[in-house]
Amino acid sequence: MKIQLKKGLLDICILASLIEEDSYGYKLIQDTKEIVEMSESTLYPILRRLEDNKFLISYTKEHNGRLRKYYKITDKGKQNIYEFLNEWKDMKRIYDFIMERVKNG
Amino acid sequence: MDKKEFLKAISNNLKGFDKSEITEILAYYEEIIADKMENGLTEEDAIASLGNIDDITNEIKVNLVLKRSDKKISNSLKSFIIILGICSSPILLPLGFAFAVLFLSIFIVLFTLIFVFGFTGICVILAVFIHSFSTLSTGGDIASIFIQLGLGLMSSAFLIGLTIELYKAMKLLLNKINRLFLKTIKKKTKKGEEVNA
Repeated sequence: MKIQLKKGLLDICILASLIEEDSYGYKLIQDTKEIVEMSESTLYPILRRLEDNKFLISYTKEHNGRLRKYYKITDKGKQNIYEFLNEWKDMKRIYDFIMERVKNG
Repeated sequence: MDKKEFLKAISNNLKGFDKSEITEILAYYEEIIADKMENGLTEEDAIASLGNIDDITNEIKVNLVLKRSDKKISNSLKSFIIILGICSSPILLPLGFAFAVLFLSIFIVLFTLIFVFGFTGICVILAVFIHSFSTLSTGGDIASIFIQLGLGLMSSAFLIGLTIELYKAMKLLLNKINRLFLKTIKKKTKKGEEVNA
């Protein structure tokens, strides 16, 4: 099944991937691969937007003799995820309501 | 294509954009290529997996111009030319044509109005002064000259005020049109965002 992701959903997926540990571009794409096929040029503006909104901060660290940019989620970023989850609780209730009618019908 | 050529092509395509922005984009792709190679891809394959350079830079341009128009520092005409450039790819050609027609017709109509009002405003000022001086030199009545001057300056102030407001409205409107088309382009070219199931 191929559906277009709702705007902003991808942003939350990236933020959620940073909750456990800081990460970097390549790894973020790999980590989200199971749910969404994201190209590198799609990820870039998302990271920029999240950083502009102070949902994450970035820092560079040496890796194999080169610099790699790491991203760290901020408290504001975490807050954003919780807000998302709360909003979707209502969505879930609506989904359940519809599902129940369909099943009984 | 090797990494050097790829990065050079990207920065060439983005000429004219903010230097620090370009540096950041190049660093991003350089890091991605290095990580892909570390995970077993050859340099050539790593670069090929990133996709077509024009697609990559067009996506970047759309985002940069949108961001700029968010911050209200956008120059509508400059953005217009960039958007036209993006629309030169075959699938966007009809959209680009519609965009150009809409943008240019609004620009021409408003620009003409602005020019006419502004020009009239300045002419009224000149006319009023010249007329007052000539009346004065032929020994006219001072009081009536002042009334003429006052009325003339008032009407030219009105015309020039109108010109300024129209100019602001034009900037706002053209900026809106730019944003509308950028968002449409974004929707049309969006890929690599499908849910895997």
